Amino acid sequence: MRLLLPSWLLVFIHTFILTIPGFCQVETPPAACVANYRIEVKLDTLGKKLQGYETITFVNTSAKPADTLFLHLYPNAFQSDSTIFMKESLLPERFRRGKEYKGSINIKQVEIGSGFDLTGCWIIDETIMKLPLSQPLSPAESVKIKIDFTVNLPQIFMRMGYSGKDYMIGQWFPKMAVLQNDGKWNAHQYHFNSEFFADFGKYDVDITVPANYLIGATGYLTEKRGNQDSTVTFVFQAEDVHDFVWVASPDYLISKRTVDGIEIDFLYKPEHAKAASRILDAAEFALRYYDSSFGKYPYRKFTIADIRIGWGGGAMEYPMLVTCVPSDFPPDIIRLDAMVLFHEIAHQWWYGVVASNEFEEAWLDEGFATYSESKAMEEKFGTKANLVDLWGININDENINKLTYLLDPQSDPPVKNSWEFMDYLSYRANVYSKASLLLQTMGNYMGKEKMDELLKGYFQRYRFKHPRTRDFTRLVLEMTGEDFDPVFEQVLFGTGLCDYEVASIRSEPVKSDSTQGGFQTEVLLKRLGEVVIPVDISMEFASGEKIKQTWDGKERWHRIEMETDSKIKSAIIDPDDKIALEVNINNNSLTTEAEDSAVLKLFTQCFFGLETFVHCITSF
Amino acid sequence: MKHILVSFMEGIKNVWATKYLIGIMLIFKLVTSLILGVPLYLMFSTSFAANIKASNFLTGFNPSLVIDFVYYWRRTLSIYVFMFILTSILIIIAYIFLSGGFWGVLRDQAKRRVKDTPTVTSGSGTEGFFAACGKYFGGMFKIGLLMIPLYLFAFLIWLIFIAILGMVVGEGSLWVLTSWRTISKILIALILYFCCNMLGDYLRIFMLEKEDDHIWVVIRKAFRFVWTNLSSTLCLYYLLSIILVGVILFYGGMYKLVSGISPTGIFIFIAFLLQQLFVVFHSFYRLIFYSSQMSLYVRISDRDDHPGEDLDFKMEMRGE
Repeated sequence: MRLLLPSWLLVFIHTFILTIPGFCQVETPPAACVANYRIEVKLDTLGKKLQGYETITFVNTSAKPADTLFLHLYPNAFQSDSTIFMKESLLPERFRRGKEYKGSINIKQVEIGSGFDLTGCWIIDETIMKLPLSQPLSPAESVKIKIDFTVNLPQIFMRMGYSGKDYMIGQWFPKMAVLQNDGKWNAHQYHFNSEFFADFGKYDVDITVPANYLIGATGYLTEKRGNQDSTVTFVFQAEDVHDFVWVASPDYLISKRTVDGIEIDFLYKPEHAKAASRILDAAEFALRYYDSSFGKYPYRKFTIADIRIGWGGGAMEYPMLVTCVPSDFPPDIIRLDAMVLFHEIAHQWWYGVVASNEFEEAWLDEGFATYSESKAMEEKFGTKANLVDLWGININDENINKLTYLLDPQSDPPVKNSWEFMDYLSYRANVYSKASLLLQTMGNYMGKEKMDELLKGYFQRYRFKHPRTRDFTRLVLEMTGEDFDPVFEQVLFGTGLCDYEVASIRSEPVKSDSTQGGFQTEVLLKRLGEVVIPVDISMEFASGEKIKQTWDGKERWHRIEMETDSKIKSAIIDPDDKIALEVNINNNSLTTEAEDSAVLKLFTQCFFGLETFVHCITSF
Repeated sequence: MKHILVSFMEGIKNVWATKYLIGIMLIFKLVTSLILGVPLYLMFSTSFAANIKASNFLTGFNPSLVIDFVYYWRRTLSIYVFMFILTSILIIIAYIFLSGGFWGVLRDQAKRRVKDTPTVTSGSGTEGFFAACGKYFGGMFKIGLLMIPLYLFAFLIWLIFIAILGMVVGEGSLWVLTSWRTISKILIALILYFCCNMLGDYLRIFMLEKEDDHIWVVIRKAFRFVWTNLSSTLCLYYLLSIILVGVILFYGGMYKLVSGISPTGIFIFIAFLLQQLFVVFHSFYRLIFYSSQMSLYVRISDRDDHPGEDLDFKMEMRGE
């Protein structure tokens, strides 16, 4: 059943809502509404289906006329085990074969403009639908597309579907691809390693579900009305967003908090009731921290949905809503909840508002979100042990980034089409971790204040836009005056490693028979990796004197020779740990006298561990 | 209850009377741990000996150094892990060989003390020990293999238990260690593990005592013995285990105390000494496990063979 309001009433409601104080608290003009959606959808819990009807108003913002429209039909990724998505996936065999894991979207009817029926004219290639237009759509011209569709929901294993009575509905409706300024469509298939890219727009979505269901969704709930068939319709509105997601469950409980005018809703399953306050605490902290670090969160509503529903439920970002799974780990010992939430909430800035192309340059949102998460963890829990504090083992968020990076640092550069990475490990290592370590390194070089200013400037300039890598690198030069381009070239577009070494140190008396004369000191430095970054070198002498130098790192090796009053004691490259990308900090320093105590302590602990191990394996 | 305590005390006396067994077990642990540990020491020395940042290890754990250490040595470590697994298998086999000696010597000692019977194995001291090692290796090896399905069976019982627990009271968090669900799961796992170990010990005792019998006959007799004397065998095993847990907790407390000392060379030496004292105790105590159970077996079998005789009175008459 479709409920259509008269257009004059819609205009009135819209005008009325706009007059509500705080509804449009934006600092700069909102996003260009390229694709606006009016969707009515009904959840069929028995048939595990969505019955939907949408009207898309699409504006050609390119410089050229468009004779075909491209739309994404993401649910078709699950239609068989031979789709690109399923072939690329590393999912267990049961997900490929099981009928319950199959999902698809069926297009029943398409009308263009004022009733021109395109039914049967479309071309569907898995997750992409092409709609040939009878007349090209000129620049700045808009068109209305009405689509009647049905989605067959799979049992969830990847961001969309059901698990028992619970539903996670992401990437579910026919969605416009992005028409670039040059008149070409940026429309890629749904790949296993890839997330999404879309234009900003306005969403008016009516969701009808059984009366006992509670819903969380992108946008503001503007109306909830009961229907005669024991269903209830939730009406959501969202502006300046580029996607719309919703979750539904009859078991959801809700916990609310208001932070600086933003209403935070946490929808959770009863078994996670104890986690509610800590999840809301983490969200409150993250929203405030990112607000002050990057710029104001532009909406008045933020929803967190507990989505422990099957294998595919997990942490994921959507505009104005993130999903998470409250962790079973003791939150004071392993702060997994905070880490995951800080990451997903950072995506509200780096994805939600600064909307990069996740198909082609995923590092711009994943790398930035990972870096932001690290900084938030430091701010909230300190620099040491901010992630794990267990039995004397202190691990911080940056350690995990480094570890992930080192799992596969050389297969792919961060800037690459997501589906062209060798595998998910390489994607994760480079897009998330290497990119984050690069930002960390930049921050260490330019200083915290400058880095914060840079990110604020980036956010302000590109909010509600789609910046590319080159936009960011240009902005770095413009705002900081520092030329990081050579580093960007090597790190973002290359697969080289950063590894500096103090190869040798020695001091010889200037005269062999002299006891009071000076010493000829020599320090040999080597660049073992391909990445060239200027490095600091600190040398300490027996007299306590310290000398600092800088090496541009351009050559493969560099010898420092000098006459000194006393013998050299030690030399260290990058003494302030600026280079987060360094792959082996253990060769960054050299001492003339061995640090036996540390090695002995480490070994005695390991030795006792081995004795205990031997005791255990011989105890049966 | 009395004969359990007496068996325990006899166990201690028997091990004390054959102190060289503690030495053999200690040397075995030290040598095998060194074999496993030397490659690590060499890698640690290369990476950390002349590394300024390695001094961080004196005050705590430094994940950055460890992560880079693992990445740098990744190829060597992959070989090391493979060799570690192979060496561990060899260590298990070597221990199975030695365990024949431990059990054999302790059996002789228990019989001498309880029944005043002559030595069963040939020779005395280390000669007798190694004779028993060779003599019982086959049987000990068979029992070692038999322990695998026994542990698997116990694991299956544990899985059934947690499934039933989950059905009755719902799933709880694995990580909330203080929840009664987790505590019951751990307790049941420990009880099953101890039961398996105890059964293994009595299998070995019966293998020594009924060496001419077929292995299945030995198993049947051992199981029957444990079943018919369940309260005694269980009580003795749990008495031994509880004391061991107490000592481990005491050691933990002591180590924590030592950890408070500033990380100098002396601290490292004291900590190492404490660890090695604990290893000595552990070796001693494992032999007490063997010996006490052997004494219990000898006492019960003697009582069954000579009903009405007071074994303690006999021993008092012998001046023990």
